[in-house]
Amino acid sequence: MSKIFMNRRHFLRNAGIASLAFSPLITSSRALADTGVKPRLLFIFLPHGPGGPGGGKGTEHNFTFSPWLSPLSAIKEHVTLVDGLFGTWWGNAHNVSYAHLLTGSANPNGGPPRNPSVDVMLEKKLGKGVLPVQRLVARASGYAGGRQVCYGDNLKAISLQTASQAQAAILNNIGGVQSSEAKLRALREKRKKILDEVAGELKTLRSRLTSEEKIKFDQFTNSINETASSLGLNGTIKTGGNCQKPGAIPSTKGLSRNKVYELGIDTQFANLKTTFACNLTQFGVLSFNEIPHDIYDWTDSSGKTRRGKPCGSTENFHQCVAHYKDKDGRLCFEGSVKWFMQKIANFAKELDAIKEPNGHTLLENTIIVISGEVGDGNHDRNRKPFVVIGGRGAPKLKTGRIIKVPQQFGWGLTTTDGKISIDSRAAISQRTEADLWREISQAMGVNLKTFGSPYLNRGRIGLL
Amino acid sequence: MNNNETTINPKKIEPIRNIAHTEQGMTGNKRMHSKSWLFSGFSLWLIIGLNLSWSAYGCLGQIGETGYEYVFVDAGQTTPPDQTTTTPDKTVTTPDQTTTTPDQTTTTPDQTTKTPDSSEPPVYYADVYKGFLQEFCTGCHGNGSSQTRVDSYSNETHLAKAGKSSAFDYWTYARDRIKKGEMPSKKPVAEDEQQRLNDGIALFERWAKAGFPEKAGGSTTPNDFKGKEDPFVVFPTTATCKGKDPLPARLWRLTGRQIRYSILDVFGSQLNLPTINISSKRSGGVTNSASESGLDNVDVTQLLKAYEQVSTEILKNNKEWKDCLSKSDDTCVKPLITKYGRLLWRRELTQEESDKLFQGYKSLVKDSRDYALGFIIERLMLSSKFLFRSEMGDVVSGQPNTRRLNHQEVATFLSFTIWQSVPDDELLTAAKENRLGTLPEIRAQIQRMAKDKRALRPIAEFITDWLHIRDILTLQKDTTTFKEITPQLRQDAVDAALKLLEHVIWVKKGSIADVFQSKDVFLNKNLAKLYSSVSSTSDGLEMKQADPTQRMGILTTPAFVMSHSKEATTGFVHRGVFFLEELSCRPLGNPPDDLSSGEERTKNVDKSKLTTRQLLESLHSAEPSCNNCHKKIDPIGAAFEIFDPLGRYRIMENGKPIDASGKLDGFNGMKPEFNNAIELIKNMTDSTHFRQCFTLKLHTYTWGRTPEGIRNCSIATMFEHLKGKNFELLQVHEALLANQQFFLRTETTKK
Repeated sequence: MSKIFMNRRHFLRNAGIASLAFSPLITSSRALADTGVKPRLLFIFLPHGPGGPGGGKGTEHNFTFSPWLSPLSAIKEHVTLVDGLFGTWWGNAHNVSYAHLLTGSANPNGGPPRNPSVDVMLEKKLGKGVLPVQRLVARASGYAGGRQVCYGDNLKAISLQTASQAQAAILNNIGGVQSSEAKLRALREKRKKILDEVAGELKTLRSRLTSEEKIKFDQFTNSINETASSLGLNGTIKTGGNCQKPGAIPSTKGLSRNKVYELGIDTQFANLKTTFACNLTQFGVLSFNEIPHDIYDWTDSSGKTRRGKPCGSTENFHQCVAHYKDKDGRLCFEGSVKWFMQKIANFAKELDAIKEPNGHTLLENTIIVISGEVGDGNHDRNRKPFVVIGGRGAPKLKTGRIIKVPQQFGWGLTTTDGKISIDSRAAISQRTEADLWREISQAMGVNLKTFGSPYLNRGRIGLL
Repeated sequence: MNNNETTINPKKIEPIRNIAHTEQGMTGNKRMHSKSWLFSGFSLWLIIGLNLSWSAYGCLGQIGETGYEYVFVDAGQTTPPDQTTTTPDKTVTTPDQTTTTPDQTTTTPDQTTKTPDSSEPPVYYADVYKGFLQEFCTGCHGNGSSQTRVDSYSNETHLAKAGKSSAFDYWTYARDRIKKGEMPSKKPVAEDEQQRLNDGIALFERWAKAGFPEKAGGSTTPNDFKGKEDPFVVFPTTATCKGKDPLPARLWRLTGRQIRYSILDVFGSQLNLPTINISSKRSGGVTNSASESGLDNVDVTQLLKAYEQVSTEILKNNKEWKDCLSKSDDTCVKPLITKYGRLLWRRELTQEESDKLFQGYKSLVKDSRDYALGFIIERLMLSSKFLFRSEMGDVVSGQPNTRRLNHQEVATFLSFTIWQSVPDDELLTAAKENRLGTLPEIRAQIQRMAKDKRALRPIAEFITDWLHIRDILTLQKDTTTFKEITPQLRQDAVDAALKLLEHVIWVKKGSIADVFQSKDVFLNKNLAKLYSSVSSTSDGLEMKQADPTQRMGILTTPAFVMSHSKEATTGFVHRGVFFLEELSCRPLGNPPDDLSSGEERTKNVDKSKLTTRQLLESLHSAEPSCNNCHKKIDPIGAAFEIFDPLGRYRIMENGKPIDASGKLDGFNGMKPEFNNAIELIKNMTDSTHFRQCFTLKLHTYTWGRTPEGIRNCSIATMFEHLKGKNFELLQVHEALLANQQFFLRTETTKK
C-alpha cells in the first residue's frame, strides 16, 4: 500500500499559486460600468452540501447536470458549475468548516475564523445601503438550526434572522408594519432618540479617556450608528418600480411542521427578492437548516418512489442519509438536494423576470453561490462542488459552463486486519474556497489580491 | 412565521473553545424557555444582612429566563429607602468630571511591601548561549551534528529526536548530565578555559533554577511556554516575585450577567428578564477581560431590544413604575429619574442630565406613555455611564502617567467585584462622603459586603465561566441519538451545578478543592435519568450522595460533562485539552497547520469494534507530530471516558471494558497515576500546581486581565493569602487587597 504524506509546501508549489499573478484585473469600473446598477451577491448554504463531486458531465460549454442538480436544467444558461473546491484541513467538516465556508480562514481551535466572511468584507468595501447584509435562516421547529457562516470584523458570528424578523426589517424600510402608523412612528422615534443621545454622550466623554480606551467608545459609537441603520431608522421609505412590498406571511396555524418549513423557505426567498429589487442591500446569505426527511419524494434503487428516510427511526438524517450507508441512502440524499434545487430554480426564475435599468434581469445582475460545509454529505472537503447561478449582467460572469479545476491525490486511512494504515486515494482540488471568493469579489467590483488565509490562495478558477 | 421562530436567539455567541480538530464541534442556536422557580428554602437561615437597609433579604433564588441564579433580594426591598427625596440639583461629581481625589498622603500598608531583592539579574537563554553553550556544547550539538542542536530546543521534531517531550525536559536532562560530569565532553586545558567552564555551568544552574525562561528580557507568561515547559516551576512567592503588574487606567464594560444582576437588584428580583447576551471574548480562560470589553453592533442591537422587553416588564411589575404609568400627570417622573438614575449610574445625576431625560420623556409621552417611561429606563441602561465601569482615575500631581481611583470608582469596583452588581446605598454614601480612600476603609467595606449572600455571585460566576458550565445551554447536540437532551434537562443540569456551587461555597464554607471533590450531588427526577447510583422523584433539585467512585465534585456533574462533550461523541480530545490548558494551566498551542482531520483519516475504520481510546490512540501514535501533544492529552481524555456524552457513568463502550487509567507527570505535588477521572481529579485538585493555576485564573478574572508576568507580586500575595485561608472560597474577596496597587492605575498599558 503506497503511502503519501501531503506536505503543505509541496501542495502549494504544485497548486500553481503563481497563476494568481495572471488573474484578470477586473475592477470596479468594469463591474459597475452599466448604468449604475450594482451587482448583488447571494450565498445559499445547503446543509451537507449539494451532492458528490461534480454536479455535471461533459465539456465546458456542452454539459449535462447530474440527477442531483437536474432542476437547474431550466436555467442552464445562467449556471456555472465549479467542480470542485477545497475546503479546510481542519475539523471533521461539521465544525470549523462552517466558519471556513465564507471566510477562507479556519481557526483550528474551533473558535471564530481569522478573517471576516466575504459578505461582511464586501459590505465594508462597497457600502451598506439602507439595510445591512441580510443574513437569513430558513428553519422550522424541531429541526437542527441554520448554521452560522457569517462573521464580522470582530471575528465573531453574526446573527441570522428568521423569515418574520427579516420581513419586519425590510418593511421598516419600505413601509410600516406596526399595528398602527402612529405606534411605529413612536417606536422609531424612541429608538432614535435613545441612540442619538447615547452617541452624543460618548462624544462628550471621549475626550477624557486615554487613547486606548477611546477605541472602545469609538466602537460603541459606530455600533450605535450601525444599529440605527439596521433598524431602518436612517432610511427613507423605498417603494415603486421593481420594489414591491412582499405579501403578508400566511398563518402557520394548523400547518404541519413540514409545511411550516417550506413556508419559511418561500418567505425567505420572497424577502431576498424584495431586498435586492428595492436595492436595500447588495448582499444576502441564506442558511437552510436540515431538511425534514419526509418532505420530499425520492426514487429508490428499485425505481420505486418513496418518501422518508430508508433507515431506522433512531438514525438521523445526517447519519442515515447524508452518510449514505447504502445505495438507497444515497438516493434519498439525492432527492433532498433535488428538492432544494427546485426551490432555488424557481427563485432564480422570479429574479429573471425582473428587468433592471441596465437591460439585464435581476438574476443576471445577481451572483447566487450554493454550497455546504461538505461536498458529498459525507465529510468530504477535498473537492466540494459549488453551484453558481446568474451574474452575467453587471458582474460579467461567463455562465452556462462547467469548470473543472486541477486536482491532486492525497491520503486517507484504511484498516487491514484491524490495523490502521495510510494510503493514497483521495482526489484533492487545487483550488479553494478562498480562490472562489477572491474571484467573486473581483466580479463585485473589489479587486483583491488574496482572500482569507494567504496559503489557500492557489490560483484562478475562471469565473470571469 | 411560526411561534417557534421567535425563540431563536438572535445572536449566537460562539464561545472561544479549544475544540479538538479530530472530533465533531458544535454550533447552533438554542434559547432556553422561561420558567419561574423559587429557590428551595433550605438555605434561608443562612442569610446574614448587616446592612439594615437591606436586612429583609428573603433569599429568593431567582429563576429568570436563564434559570437558577443568585438573586437574593425580595421585591419591595430592591432599592434603598428614602432615595426619592434626593433632590436632583445637588452638586454632583461624575466619574469623568470629578476632581476630588482621595487623600493621597495616606500610606497604605500594602503599598509599603518590601520589594524583593533583585540584585541578581535574571538569566535567559541568550545569556547561557553566549556564556556557555556556544563554546562548550555546539561542538557536538551544532550544525550538521547527529545530536539535537542546542538551539533547536523549541523545535518539537528535534525534541522528539532527543526523546524529550518538552524543552523543559530537554534542559533538565542536560543539567543532570552536566551535573554528573558527562557533559560537556570538551575538557578544558587552560586555566582560564576551566574558569570559563565553571562560570558557564554556574550560569546554566541559575538559568535552570529560574525554570529555563526562554526569552532574553522577555516575559514569562504562560503563553511563552506553549508546549515547552511548566510555568509553575517559577510560580512566585512574596520573596521571589518580581514587579507589581500595574493596571492600566481603563473602562471595563459590564458583562451580561452583571447587567442582569444589576437590573434585578435595582428593579426587583421578581422580574422575568430576557437573555442579555452580549459578547464576551475569552482571555486567559475567562470572559471578564477589561481590554476585550467593547460593544459591537450586534451587542447594541441586542441590548436595545432586550431593554425594550425589560422596560415593559418593569412597567408591568415594579410598583413605582407601574403606579407612575397609571397616572396621567408627570409629577411622578422626576423622582423616578432621580432615584433610578443614581442607582444605575452609581452617582447622583446632574441637573442637566436629569432635565434631558425628562425632556426625552415629554417629547414621547404625547404618542405613548409607556414608550415615554420606557425611554427613561432604556436610556439609562444603554448609557456608557451604566454599561462601563470607569477606572480612569484622577491625575495624581507629581506622578506622571499615574492615576488614582476616585471614591465613586472604588465603590463601583467593589460592588461589581464582590456582588456582580451596582453599589448599595451604603457604598454610594461612602463614596459621596469620600470614605473609600484608604485600605482600612476598603477592608471594612469588603468585610461588610462579604457577609451579604451576593458575595457568592462572583465566585460562582467565575467557576461556571472558567469551567464553561453554561455552554450546555447553547451547544448543538444530536438530539436524535440522545433524545434525553431536552431544553429542560440542559437547564436542570446547569441549575444543579449552580446549586452545588452554592452549597459548597456558601453553606459549607468550602475550599476550591471541595468544589472538585464534593460527594454531594443535586438532582431532580429529570436529572436522575443520568445517574445510576442515586435516584430522585422530586420535581425540584434535592441534595443526595452518589457513589463516590462514580461522582465527585463539579467536573462529574452532567452540566460539565455535557458542556465538554461533542454533538454525538464524548469529546475525548476536547476534554483532555480543556483539562490540560484550563484546569492545569498547561497551554498546548495550536496543532500544526498541515494536519488533516481524524475523522477523515478513520473514514474506513470499523469504529464499532474499538473503544474511543483504542481508535484515537492508534490514530495519534501513528503520527509523530500528533503524538507529541496527544500523549499528554489522551490519558486525560481516556480517564473521562467513564462518562458518556450525556454525563452518564459507564464502564463499557462498544461491548468492551473502558480502560480509563493513565499517568500524568510533571505537576508539582500531584500523584501521577490514576485509574479513572475520579482519581485524576482528586490527584490534580490536591496538588500545589492546581492551587497555583486556580490562583492565576482567579487573579485574571478578578482584575479583568491576564497578568503581565506570572512572577508578579500581586499573584504571589494572592496565592499566599488564599493559602493562609486554606483556599476557602469565601475568603477570596479579601484577596483583592493583595494587589499592592489597589488604587493606582497607569495611563499607558504595556503592549
